[in-house]
Amino acid sequence: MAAIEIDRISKAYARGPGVVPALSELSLEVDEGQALALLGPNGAGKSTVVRILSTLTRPDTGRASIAGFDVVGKAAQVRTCIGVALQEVGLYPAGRVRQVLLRHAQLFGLSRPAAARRCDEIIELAGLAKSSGQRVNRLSGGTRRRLDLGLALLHRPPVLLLDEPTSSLDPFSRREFWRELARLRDEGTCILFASQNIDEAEQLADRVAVLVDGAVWRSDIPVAAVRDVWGSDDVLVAP
Amino acid sequence: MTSLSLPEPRSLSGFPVHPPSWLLQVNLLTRRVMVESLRSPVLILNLLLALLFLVVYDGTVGGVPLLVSFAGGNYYNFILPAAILAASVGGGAAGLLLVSDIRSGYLSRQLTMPIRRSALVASLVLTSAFQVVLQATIVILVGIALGADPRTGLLGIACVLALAFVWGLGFAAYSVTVAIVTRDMQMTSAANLIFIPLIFLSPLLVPYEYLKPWMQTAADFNPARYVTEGMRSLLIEGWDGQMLIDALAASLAFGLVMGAVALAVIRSRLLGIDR
Repeated sequence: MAAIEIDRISKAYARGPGVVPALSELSLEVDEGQALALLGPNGAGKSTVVRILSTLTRPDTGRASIAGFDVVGKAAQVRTCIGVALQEVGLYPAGRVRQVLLRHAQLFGLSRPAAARRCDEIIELAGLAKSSGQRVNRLSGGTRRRLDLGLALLHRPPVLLLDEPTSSLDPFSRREFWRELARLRDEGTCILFASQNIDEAEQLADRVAVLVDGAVWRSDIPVAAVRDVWGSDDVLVAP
Repeated sequence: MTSLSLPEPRSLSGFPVHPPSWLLQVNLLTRRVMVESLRSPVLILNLLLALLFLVVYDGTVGGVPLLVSFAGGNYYNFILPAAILAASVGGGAAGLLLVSDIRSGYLSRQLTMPIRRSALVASLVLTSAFQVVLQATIVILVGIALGADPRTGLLGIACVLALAFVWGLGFAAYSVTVAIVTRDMQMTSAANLIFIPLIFLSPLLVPYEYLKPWMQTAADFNPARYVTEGMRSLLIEGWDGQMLIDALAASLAFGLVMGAVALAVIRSRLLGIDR
């Protein structure tokens, strides 16, 4: 059964005197326990899909829902069941790593003892033990990304929405996260992630949808078929 | 669309998925914002500006016998409210923090979480109002060290700080509104300069009766007039119920209007931090 449903959504952004279409009549479904990779070159509309599902952006037309909740009409309920890591890392500079995790866990409704336990798990999972007392503004880009992903997993959401999730991670950390995300998927978590990295799709995705100019160019195709079209490069640059 | 398989969020391993109460949200968010704002140099700059008001005005016109007579012989008592209102620019830190959160992407993260929009605004506004009180306290202490002698004592000073807090809430809400609309650090910072007409179109340097008619009319519509006069009455004349009611009403009206505008703007604009 579908945990994410997107039904003919369109979105255009105002740019100066005109509008730039980002999505056009896009439809997709992702089931519980499935991982869908949204592949496509820059400007294909991948991030817009993630932002609409994350309740950050409204579609102009069409509907989308998560766990049965409409992302516009029931946005508050949607936010209780999604874990999000956007393309830009969303952290505040003065917080210390453990403090940031603890505060967010409490904002998701965990009691302080439960939040503390969960923070320890995330610190271990994300390889943040050495940085747990450091301020965010002192962390390297890769460590910030690991903390950002840790925040997305903190409350064990049934639906994960990730935009270029491992783009700034070193190869070792990337593989660790892929392994963890695969485990979550196998436990029933629904994952939708946007990526330009075909390797990432190969490692994680059950299904692939390729976006070009805001519309699904191909869906449910093997990753190998994507390589056939885009060549052997790991990163998609042009349709 | 067909009916969906997950009617409500999963609750795993005993972790509740219900978001905390509004008050707990405000508490958690305020503690974060407080840490950020206390690390900002804006706090020190605002305080220096307020102290500059105190010292420069006393040095410039504090020796004029007529003016000193308005102040019961002590011009520091007369000019202290102006310095406190200048400190209210500290409320503008709320907007600057919000722009910083928008730029860093942290606001987007918060907006994907089950956090009430009103809790977000409240945490920013409360932090800035506390900041205004902190600065006002330092200004009063420096004023006393320089020679001010508040007529109503400690209780009167507490009332002055309460007025500063309510005024700070309004100023912070105004700053948040500008930040959401412009999403620009320089614009938000420049918008804080509204404090200049607010405090100068009021009985800042001389009592209301000595203002020219057009200035009196402007002051009549300026909430800063009533706050200044209320504080001044506590510092110079003693307890005056009507003055206090007017000052509190003006601060509350300013705070409520600015708060309502900020909430309306945040609700209409923040869903889409569309890029």
